[in-house]
Amino acid sequence: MSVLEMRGGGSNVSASPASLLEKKPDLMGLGMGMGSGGQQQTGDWKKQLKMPPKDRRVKTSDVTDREGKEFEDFCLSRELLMGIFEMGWEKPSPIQEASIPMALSGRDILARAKNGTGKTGAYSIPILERVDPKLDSIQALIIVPTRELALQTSQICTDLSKHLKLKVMVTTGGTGLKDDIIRVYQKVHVIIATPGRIIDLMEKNVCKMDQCKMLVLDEADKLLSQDFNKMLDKLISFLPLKRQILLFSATFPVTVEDFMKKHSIDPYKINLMDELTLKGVTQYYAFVQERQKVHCLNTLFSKLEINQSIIFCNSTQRVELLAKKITELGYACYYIHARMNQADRNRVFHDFRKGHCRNLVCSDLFTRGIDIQAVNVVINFDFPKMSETYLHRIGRSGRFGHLGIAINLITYDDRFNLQKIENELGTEIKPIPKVTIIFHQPCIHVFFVKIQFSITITTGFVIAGNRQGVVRGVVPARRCSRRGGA
Amino acid sequence: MMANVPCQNQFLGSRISLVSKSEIRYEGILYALDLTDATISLAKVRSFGTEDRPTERPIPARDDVYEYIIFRGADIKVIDIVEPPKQASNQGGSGIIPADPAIVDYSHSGSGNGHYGNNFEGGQGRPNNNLLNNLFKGRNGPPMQNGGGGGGNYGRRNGGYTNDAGVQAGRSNQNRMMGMGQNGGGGNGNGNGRQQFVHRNNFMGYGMNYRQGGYNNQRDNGGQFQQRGGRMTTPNRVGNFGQRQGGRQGGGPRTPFRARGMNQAAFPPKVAFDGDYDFEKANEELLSTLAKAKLEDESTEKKEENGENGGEENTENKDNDKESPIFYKKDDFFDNISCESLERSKGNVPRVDWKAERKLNAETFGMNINNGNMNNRNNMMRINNQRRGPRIPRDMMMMNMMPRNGPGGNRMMMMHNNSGYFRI
Repeated sequence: MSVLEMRGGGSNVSASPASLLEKKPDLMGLGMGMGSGGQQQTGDWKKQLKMPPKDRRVKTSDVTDREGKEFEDFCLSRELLMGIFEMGWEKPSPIQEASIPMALSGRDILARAKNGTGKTGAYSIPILERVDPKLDSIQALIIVPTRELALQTSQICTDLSKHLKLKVMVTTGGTGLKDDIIRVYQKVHVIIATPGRIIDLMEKNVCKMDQCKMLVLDEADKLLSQDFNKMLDKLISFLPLKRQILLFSATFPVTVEDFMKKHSIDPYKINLMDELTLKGVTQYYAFVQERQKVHCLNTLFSKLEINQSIIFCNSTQRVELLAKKITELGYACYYIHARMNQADRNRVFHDFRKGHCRNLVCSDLFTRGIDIQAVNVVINFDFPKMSETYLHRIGRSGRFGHLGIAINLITYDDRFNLQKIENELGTEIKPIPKVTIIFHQPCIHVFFVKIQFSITITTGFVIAGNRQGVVRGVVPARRCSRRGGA
Repeated sequence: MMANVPCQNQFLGSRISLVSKSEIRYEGILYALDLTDATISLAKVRSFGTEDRPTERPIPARDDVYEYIIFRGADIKVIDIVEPPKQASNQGGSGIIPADPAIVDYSHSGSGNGHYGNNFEGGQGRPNNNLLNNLFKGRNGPPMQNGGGGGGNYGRRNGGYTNDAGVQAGRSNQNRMMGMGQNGGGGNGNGNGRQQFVHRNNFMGYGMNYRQGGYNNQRDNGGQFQQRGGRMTTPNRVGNFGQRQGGRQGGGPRTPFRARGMNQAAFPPKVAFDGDYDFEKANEELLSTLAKAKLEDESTEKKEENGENGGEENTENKDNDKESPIFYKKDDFFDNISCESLERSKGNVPRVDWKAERKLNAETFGMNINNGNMNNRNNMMRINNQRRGPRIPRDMMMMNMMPRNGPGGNRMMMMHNNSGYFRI
């Protein structure tokens, strides 16, 4: 949900998975000299921007139904605008149009927008604008539910604030506390964190929050769920009374209301969801018996035009078992779940983003917020029990209004859940068509953009990826014939 | 196999000198040529730096001997054969080690990743498949016999592991290595040199500096999957499913754990299915079942007035049952769709039923994948503890372990052979 969204422009370089989490060599040719670029001649500063290539893919009305505002209309500082444009975001997405002015005014916000439509940008832009670089204190706090999401969000904030003299820091569990403490003691303006770690730092009195007047809860409903709820109350108790709270998510169960009443003052509600599901994501189901799931998945691999896929299982153990199975089937895959150590998680996340592997098997760790533009297929190997989970899972494809598909393996036991979810989300999950599914959109494009871009970084991969990209439709067929021969 | 046919030719084993586009000269033993990928693999490689060649970035020579470097054909400027293959060197594993005083030590070879990587990575674009071929023809008269060729030599040289190596040449290096690991007992009888060779993790020229970040060598305990499938994938050491034991690992396979390129089905499947899954039939089945279910539901629904379709599983919709089946209205902002929080607020805390999950897992992934042995299991558990992985019941683990040697291993090898790896 939130991440890529901001990538408004779409598949571009800076958005390319390659760039995330990785400090690139000055790839885009944005010289450091531009750091204080604001002072340059007024007229043509835009011309000096090195913008990523435009994304010309079709986008759905989820992101194109705009009022017609421009980023320039928000009275943002030029340095921030430069950062925005260099991210490849050309125009604000609907949620950004709605929330940026309101957030700039200092009001509390409760915003609801679909997966991958620009929520991260919608809060990070106003926040970065409002932070005063001259003040040496923590002025804004962004809380997200998972570590990977924190990394992703911080990368976006860092990129956006490239030309601002701001210090953005990410702190999450699973990393050394000491390093974080040292960094906090140096100057930090914006912190992106998962709840546990930041509370820890606050309790140790390392993070002084008395100047922190902005708090963002991304995936707010998750943060306010029972998993985190107590923590958030505690966290807020460290903040000054006069503060602005921004809540963003695609789902807001009624349970969030209590929190709002307690902590938020007359929040401005933004709801851009006429319906819950994304227009660009086509959903299918395939009926299987439990023991046929792997076979079914195998067939899917051979028939789908997968650019990159995310495959969800319902438990961490099943993630590992499935990943192993998939490799035994002869396909490459990564896997990730919350019970791995953080270094491994980071590695998988980073590499998958970079496109080093086509398939990722994961638990619900990646259900929310993770934004990988090259993902065009989501497979629910295990069908989720909750509509909310389902909605977020399928939102991993079709980022920023692009097209994607979701395929659900349904067992007999899942049949009611299927109906329930269809019903609750008011969406249609169709039986999988008999013909080979030809992906409706040349998603490979994304891949190419990404790949060409990362050439300077790791050429070797590029080539591999490239070629694979081209042949990928052919490979499974060949494999079949080989198998036949065996 | 697919795209990566290793090429056989009489130059294998020759001592080759090549100059890359970065003007760096390398010398090593020709180990493999991959025409499809247009890569050339040298063993026991030394870098002589840029020597006197004009270049923007002069690089000094290095003393290190790299076990293994894969070069991209497109980035090679000059290739020369310094010394023809030694007969012996095609046979035994040790033959591949040149009688070169420059070779300091095998274990010394781990250094220099970043450096090399950078040098190699300048090139762009896809390699020209024929480039190497042409190069060779031009310089050495006899055309190489390429492709296919039964891979005899290749296979022989490396016992099992080359299966992967050949197939993957240059593309998924680690697969190669994995093959190695996996063949364990069976495969690597052939020659230590080879083994060393394979285990190198300096795969230059192939995007190697990707590991610079540091995780290259951290896999002290090898990679789980990697061990077993030869077609691994997970770039981490987490699972360690098939880990055999530390010793072996320490000795050799510190393989970078990455799936090079996205090989869709680039590896021979260890598990194969006959034919495609019949979605249509299955879906029809579901429809008919659902139709039946619906009939039943309707009767219940009538009673409950407007209830929702669901039977047992729909407890969470109690409130909706009474009101209307509207779960989301834009104007209301908040939604009523099923979610964890709602469930819990009703006191339905999800409980993990290990027994049920185990049963389910067995059904989904099969019981008879393997008959793990003690070694495996112990090791497994240890590793598992180390990484604080999911607490998985022991037998569960075992169920999913792949024997690294013994019958399982053999089976694996057979599969390789049967799968047409060598015939093209």
